[in-house]
Amino acid sequence: MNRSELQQFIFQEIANIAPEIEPDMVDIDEDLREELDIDSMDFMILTVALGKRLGISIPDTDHHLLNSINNLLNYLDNKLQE
Amino acid sequence: MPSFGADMDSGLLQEWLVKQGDPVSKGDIVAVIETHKGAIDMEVFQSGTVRALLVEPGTRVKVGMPIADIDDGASAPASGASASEPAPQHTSDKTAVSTPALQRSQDRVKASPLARRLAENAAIPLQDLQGSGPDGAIIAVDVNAAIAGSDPGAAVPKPPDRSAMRQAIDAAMTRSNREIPHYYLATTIDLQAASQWLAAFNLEQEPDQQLLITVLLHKAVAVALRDNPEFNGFYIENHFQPSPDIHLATAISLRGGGLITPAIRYADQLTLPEMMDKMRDLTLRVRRGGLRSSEMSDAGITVSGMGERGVETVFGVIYPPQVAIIGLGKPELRPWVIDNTVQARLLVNISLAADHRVSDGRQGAKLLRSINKLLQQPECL
Repeated sequence: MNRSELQQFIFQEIANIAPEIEPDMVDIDEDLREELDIDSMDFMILTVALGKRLGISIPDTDHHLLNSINNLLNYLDNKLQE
Repeated sequence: MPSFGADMDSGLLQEWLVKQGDPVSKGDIVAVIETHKGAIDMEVFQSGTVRALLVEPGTRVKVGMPIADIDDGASAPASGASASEPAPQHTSDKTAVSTPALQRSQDRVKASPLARRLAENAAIPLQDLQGSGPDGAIIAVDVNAAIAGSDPGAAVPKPPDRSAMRQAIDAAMTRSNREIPHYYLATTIDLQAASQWLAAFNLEQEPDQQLLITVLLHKAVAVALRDNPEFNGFYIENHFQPSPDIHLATAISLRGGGLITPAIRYADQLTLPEMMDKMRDLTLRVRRGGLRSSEMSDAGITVSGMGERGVETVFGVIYPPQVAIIGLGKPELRPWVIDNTVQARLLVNISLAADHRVSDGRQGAKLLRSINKLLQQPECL
C-alpha cells in the first residue's frame, strides 16, 4: 500500500469521529489532536479503527509517537512493512 | 413533546419512525427530534398502540404539547394518553392528523448535527440531499453545496453566528448562576496508583479493549456518590429530590463550540471495560447522531473532564435542576511530597461545584475524599 492510499484510509477513519473535517484544510504536520480538535476518546477510537482496518496492533504505549497525521502515516507505513 | 433537559423549551419533529396503528413498547424509538443538542432518538414512555400522530414532520413543538396519542388499552379513546409527558395546555386542534400519509421510514436520514442545523436554517429537507460522509451520512459540506447550488466546489461554510445550542447553554447557565448558590471545593489527587494499575491492565489487552484514565475517574465519582446522595439528584420546586440511581452526565465538547452532556446510566454498576465502551459509544453518537432521549434527561449530576488538552482545575457551573458538577482537571506529572521527599507523581485536580441549598462544604469535602480513597485502590473499581 502506498502512502497516498494510507493517507486516504486515515481521512476516511477521521471522518467517523470528525465528520465535519475537510481533508484539504488539515495541516498534516501540526499537532493531530489540536488540528482535528479531538479528545483522547476520539483519538483512541481512531487508532483502534485504523489498527483493525490495517490488521496491525497500535497499543496505547505508542500513542505518543502519533502526534501528527504525518507521524501517524510514518508509523503505519513502518508497521505495515514489518 | 418530552423535555430532554432543563435547557430545552421546544423540539423540531424531524421524522416519525412509527405510523398509526403500530404497536409500541416502552423504550422504543418512535421519532427523531431535532433539538439544540442535535437530533435525538425519542423513546416512547409507555406501551400501547399508536392511535394518532398529532404533529407533522418539520413542525416545531413546545415541550409539554402532545405529539401523538397512544392507546394503552386502559383509557377511553377521547382522553387518550399522549406520547409526551404532562400536557398542561392541550387546546390545539388536531387537524394535523389529517395529513394523508405519514410514512414509516425504516431508514432514518443519517446526518451530522452540524448538517442538521445548517439544513434547518436553510429550510432544506435532509431527505433531498445526498450524503458524502460515512455510511452515506449527510455532512455539512453536502448541505452547504445544496445551499450554494449544485456545485460542491461553490460551497460556502455558513455557521450560524449564534446557534440554538449557544442560546440554550446561555439560558441554562444564566438560570444556574442566578438561582443556585454555588460553593466550590477542589483537591489534588495522586493518580500514580491508578495509572500504574491502568498501564499493567492495558499491557494485557488488545488495543480495542484498553482503557483511558478518565474511565477510572468517572467510575470513582459514580461509586463515591453511593454514600454521598446529596450531590446526585434534582432541585425542583424548592426542595431536593435525590436520584434513586446513579446516572452521570458526561460533558462531551463539540468541534466548533458547544457541548452535549449525555448520561452514563447506572454508572456505579458498570465494570471499567463496560464504562469505557459506554463512553466510546456516547462520544461516537454525539459526533454522528443517534443519542436517545433517556440519555439526555435523567442524569442527577454532571462530570466535566476536559481531558489531556484541558486545564489544571475546572470551576464548574451546575446544570439545573442538578445540584452538583464535578470537574476533572488534566492529569499531569508534578512534584508531590511522600515520606518527606519530593517525587514526580501523576496528579489530578478534582473540583466540586455544589448547591449550598442542598449540601455544605463539609459534605462536599467528604465526597472528594471518597473519590480520592477509591482512586488509591484502582483494583477495587
